[in-house]
Amino acid sequence: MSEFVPASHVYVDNPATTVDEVLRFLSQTAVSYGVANVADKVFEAFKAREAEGTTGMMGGFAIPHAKTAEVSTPTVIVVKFAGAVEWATMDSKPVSCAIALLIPDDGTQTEQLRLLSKVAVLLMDADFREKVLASSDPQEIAGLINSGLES
Amino acid sequence: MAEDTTYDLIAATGCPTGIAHTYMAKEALEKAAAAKGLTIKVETHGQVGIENEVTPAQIKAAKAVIVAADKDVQAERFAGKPMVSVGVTAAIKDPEGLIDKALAAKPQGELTEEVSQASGDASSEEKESVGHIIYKHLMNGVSHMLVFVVAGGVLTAVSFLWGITSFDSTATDYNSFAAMLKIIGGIAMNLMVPVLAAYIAESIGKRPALVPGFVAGMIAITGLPVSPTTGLIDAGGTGVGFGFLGGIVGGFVAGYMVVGLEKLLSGMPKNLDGLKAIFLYPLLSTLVTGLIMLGISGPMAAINTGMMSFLEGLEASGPIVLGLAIGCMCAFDMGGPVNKAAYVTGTALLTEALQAGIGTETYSFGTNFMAAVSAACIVPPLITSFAVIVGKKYFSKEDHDAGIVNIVLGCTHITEGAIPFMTKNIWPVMPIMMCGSSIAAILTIFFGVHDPAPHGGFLVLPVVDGWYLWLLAIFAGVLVGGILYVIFKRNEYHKNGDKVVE
Repeated sequence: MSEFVPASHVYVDNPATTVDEVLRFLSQTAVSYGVANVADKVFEAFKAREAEGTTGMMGGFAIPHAKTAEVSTPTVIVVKFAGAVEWATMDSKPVSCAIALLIPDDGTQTEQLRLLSKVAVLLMDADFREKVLASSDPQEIAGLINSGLES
Repeated sequence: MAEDTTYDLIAATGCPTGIAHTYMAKEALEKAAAAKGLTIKVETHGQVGIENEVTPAQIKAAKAVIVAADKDVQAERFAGKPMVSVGVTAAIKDPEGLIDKALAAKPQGELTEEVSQASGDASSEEKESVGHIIYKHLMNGVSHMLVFVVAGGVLTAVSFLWGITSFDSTATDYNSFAAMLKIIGGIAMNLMVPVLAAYIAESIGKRPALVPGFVAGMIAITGLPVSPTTGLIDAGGTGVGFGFLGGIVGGFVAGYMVVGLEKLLSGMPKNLDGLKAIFLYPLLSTLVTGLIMLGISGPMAAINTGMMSFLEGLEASGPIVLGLAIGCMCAFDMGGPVNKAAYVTGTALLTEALQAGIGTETYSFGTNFMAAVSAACIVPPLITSFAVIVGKKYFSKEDHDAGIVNIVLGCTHITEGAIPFMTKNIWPVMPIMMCGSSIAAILTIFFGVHDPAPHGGFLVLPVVDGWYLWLLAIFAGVLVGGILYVIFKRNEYHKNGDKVVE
């Protein structure tokens, strides 16, 4: 099984309650992985994307993404929240899980970019969404995504 | 790589980042369409570029179009189709509703030219006739060639304003700017046949066929080079091309060569597709097409010499036979061995005539012969001009404009202007041109017109002995040919349900 999303990239019971807090957390986490250097720049990229149109989806999911030269490697971070985060979503329901995409801005690494797109497409599968919402085990959630990418 | 599968629906998705929503929208639309029992093709405009691109034929065949994008996805391609255009999230949120809306939408505007001319119309179940397919490929070549004829022909014609030998640095009317005009115009005109062949090929075999198409077209104008000393094939030698007819043949050979190779190599693993498109197809198709073209170019030199001696043998057979031969040869293959034979014989006789001097029998015959050849070469483009003016409503806008430009080309002896018209309908346009040219040539000989210049069209009228009779002869040829051409276009128009045949 491929390990595009390692279990260490999955966070459960995150205390964030606002979109900004979520994006802050994601930016700092990206820096902690070493895929970005300056958290503020990543945060700005997330914010810029939200400003162009919300990334809130349906069924309690959001797919925030940051495309910036600051990011060196296409990366996925999954965060499940302890509470619910108010987010402008398609079904007007709050978000309980964010699947974040960090995207380099140089047009290379096409294969990984395709994998990021496949992660996004997984969100269109109601079955996948249910299973992720039901689980609180990072290992299992990472496994759901990785096996989804293989199909 | 002809893509001829058609779909009920086509869609284009795109979002600013090009990673997530573009593909989520695609997934949503595909699922919704499948649930409704419809087929769909979704083109994605993502960060990795445009993928799964829809073709004009697929646009034409689709029942409706969905654009779900927050960026430009060239939606102007879809003009004239029932269409909905929304932001990308709308397709993720309610793909079913969007499909219903698109199917119920009224078409706005007219189909783009590219779409309306695309083949693969699923609404008409009947299969395209072979004749129509060939015509479509031919037309792709002609429409690309036309601009070369116009640009090259007009630049060449303009250079004659300084004098018909102004390009020649040893001539008295030499002008360096005129020489450059003639060089540029000549290059553009030399590209005509290669472009014709290349775009016939491209229409059949898509992009990989461009290389063998261009090469085949170049061979069509250069022929098989043979060394004058050894008589063997020699890259440094010279050959006789076979003009635009060879270009047409070359274009079809090149195009179907690529299609054939695609079939032949279809068993290869899919991960070699990239290698096939940029390496194997161009390389193999060019090699084989090139060999075929060189092979059939070989006899062209022989045909050329044969036609020249044939013409010489007719010298004493009187104005009608000689004029008929000149007219038919000049308007036959335009730039090919037969046409060249007439023109080269004309200039050779003219050279002899000028050496013999005014008053001699040789002079009289040579200049008369040249006048007949010139008349026969001037007539074809003018026939098209006459026809597009008199029969305006039977011609497309493009043809009409080209016919008008041909007034300039005809008056300056640039026969090539007629090639696009002939290519479209070799039958019956070629015989019509031959008929018009023959009438002009016969009358020129009969009237005893003498032309001491090898080229230049009406710009050399002041030195033509009997110029008014010469104009009359040419006009007669244009009139007869033009009327026949209009009759043909009129029939074609009525047969097409009173619509212009594009």
